Amino acid sequence: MGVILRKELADHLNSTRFLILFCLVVCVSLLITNTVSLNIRSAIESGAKDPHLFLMLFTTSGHFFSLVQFIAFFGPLIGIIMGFDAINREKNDGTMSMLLSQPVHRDAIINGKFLAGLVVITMMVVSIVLLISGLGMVVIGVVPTPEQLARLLLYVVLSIIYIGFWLGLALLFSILFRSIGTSALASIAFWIVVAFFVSFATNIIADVVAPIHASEDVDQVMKHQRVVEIISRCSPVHLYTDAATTIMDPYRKTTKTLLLVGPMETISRARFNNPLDLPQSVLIVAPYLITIVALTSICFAAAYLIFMKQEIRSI
Amino acid sequence: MHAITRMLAWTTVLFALASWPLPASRAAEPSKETKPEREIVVAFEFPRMEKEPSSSISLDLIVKNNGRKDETILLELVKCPEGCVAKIEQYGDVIGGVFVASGEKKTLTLSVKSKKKGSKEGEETEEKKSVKLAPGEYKFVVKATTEDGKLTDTAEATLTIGKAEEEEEEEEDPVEITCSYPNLRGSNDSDFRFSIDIHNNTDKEDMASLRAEAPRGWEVAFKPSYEDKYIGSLKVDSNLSRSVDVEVKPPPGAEVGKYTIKVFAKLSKEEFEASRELTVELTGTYRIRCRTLNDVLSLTARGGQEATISMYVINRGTAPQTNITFDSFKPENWKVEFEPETIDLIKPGDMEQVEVKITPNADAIVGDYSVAINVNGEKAEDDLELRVTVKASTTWAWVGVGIIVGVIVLLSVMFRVLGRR
Repeated sequence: MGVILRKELADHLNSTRFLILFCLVVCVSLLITNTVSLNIRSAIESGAKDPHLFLMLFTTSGHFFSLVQFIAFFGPLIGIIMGFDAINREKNDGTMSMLLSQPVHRDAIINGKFLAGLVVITMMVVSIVLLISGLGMVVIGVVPTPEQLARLLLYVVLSIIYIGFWLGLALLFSILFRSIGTSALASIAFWIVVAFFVSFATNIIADVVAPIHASEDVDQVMKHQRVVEIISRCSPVHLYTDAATTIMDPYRKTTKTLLLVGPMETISRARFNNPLDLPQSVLIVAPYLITIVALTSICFAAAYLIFMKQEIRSI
Repeated sequence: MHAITRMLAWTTVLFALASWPLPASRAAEPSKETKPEREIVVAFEFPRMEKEPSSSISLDLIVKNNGRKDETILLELVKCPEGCVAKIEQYGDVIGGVFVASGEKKTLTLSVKSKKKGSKEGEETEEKKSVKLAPGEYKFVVKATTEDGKLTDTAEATLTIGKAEEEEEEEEDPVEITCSYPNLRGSNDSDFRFSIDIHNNTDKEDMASLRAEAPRGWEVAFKPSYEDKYIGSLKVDSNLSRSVDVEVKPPPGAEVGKYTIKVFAKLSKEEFEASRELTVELTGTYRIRCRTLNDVLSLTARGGQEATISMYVINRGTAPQTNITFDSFKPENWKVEFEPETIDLIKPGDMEQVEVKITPNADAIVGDYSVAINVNGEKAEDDLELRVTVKASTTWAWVGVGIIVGVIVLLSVMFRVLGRR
């Protein structure tokens, strides 16, 4: 497996695909740091520094995107590009049967390919985060606390698993579809649907299921909102965004966007407006994290299962 | 001048004759009949007299010559009671003898002045202003003797000085304390401030030293009016008074009731010490305090689950508290219960334990909430603010761990079974 992993990794790193992707990532992270840190700097010029300023580097959207949003929407592309042709290209080139005639286990091939993809993803995510942290520290001059570092680490792991899900999905499609074009299209189509169409669809479905006749009717609005939330939880993009923003923002105490809060509760909560500690933040989004981990595992397990059962013949 | 005096004397005599027809006719009688060779009479015009206390009293003394011969009569004050000085005077001059022609009479004055303790007679005129005769009976005996000593007569007068009003009697003390409001009422924590006046009745300015006797634990302090310092003595000008504030502080645990504080004032040059009783009536204080064990005011709760904190209600007042109830300020849909719900009685200094049970709403968002507890007693209340930290339920975490373990097991089984090794 180690041999396959090393070979795959070398292939990835030497490919123009990776170079383009990496350049893109660097450009984006530079852009994000620049706009976000300038925004933050103008915001903190008057007033005391928020102790959680460092994490705001990743969650504040500058002119167009925050890093969390960027990875949520375009992270899948990295995963898809890494994996959409992993198996079917080898099959189409006829190298797979050659490879299998070598003394390597069949599961080593798929494991090695998946792990190589994960390593590349890890490299990219870690380099983006480090780049933004470093530039941010220079521009706004705040050093993260250990708890913030822990939050950042958790965020990195979560991002890798999330992109890993897309890698697994692309791998699955590359096993299922013989044609590279089809598998690429299938992956991209799934990504577009999940990332963009779900948010439009949720509103349409919610309007049908729980229409709002009177906007001042609290129950109707809450029911509508509940439907929207349930549907949007089907989307891994949404799950990741919620989980990531909650982990990165200690002041975010719920994933819900609309809450029914009484006046007494408002006063009572406003009295001590303390940030949450990391375990509490994690507990809030525990279902989300579990779902993301489970989705990734299931995707890979399915790909593994199908690949192991598949008959591979040279054409 | 002399002529005028004589004329006045004559008029006095004539007036006396006219107004007293009976003695006058009697006096005239012997002159018509055979008068004795020599006879003198000395008598007080009013041998019994009652007077208000005053610094000097004059008694009229009549000296009469009933004989046919003119006489020079020497007068002597035989008996003068203690505590006063008497002199026979005529128009301010002290007289030792008088010449009375036959059938004539002269009216003299016995002037009585009080004598001051330890002072010389010569100073009496200066002091007569301030010193008054003490109440009692004074007996004066005047003896009249002819020049040759052959004839004598005595006159006796009893002067009764009535008791003066009390106030005037007190004014005789060298120092005196007065207070317009000697009774004050209030709760233990209120300020008791008496305003007393120290009077110096002597003719010299003097230092008056102040002290007080109070029940155990009470603090008494003297302060000049409108000045923020504590004093032990103060200077009082002669015949003037100065006002002093007496600040009385009861001990914190003093029970309801009446307490007497005695203040004393003494002039440095006098033996006498004036005193006055001041009364403080304590109505009791109503104060309750509530606190938690170790004074920890935060607790952790989970949505929908009851969290308990022990609270102590302490009666810090001096009056018992009855019927204590509890209120709470809490977010909507939360439950705050008290065990017991009410306390019937807490004696002063005692405390009661109350269990506060807080149940956050099942859907409460994690974070810190403020829950205020109000303890309402009789005429007193106290509150407590608790920080309730609502923590996320850990059930999802355990479910998650379960799922992840399941997935790992599934994958490893799959690797094992399908590994084709």
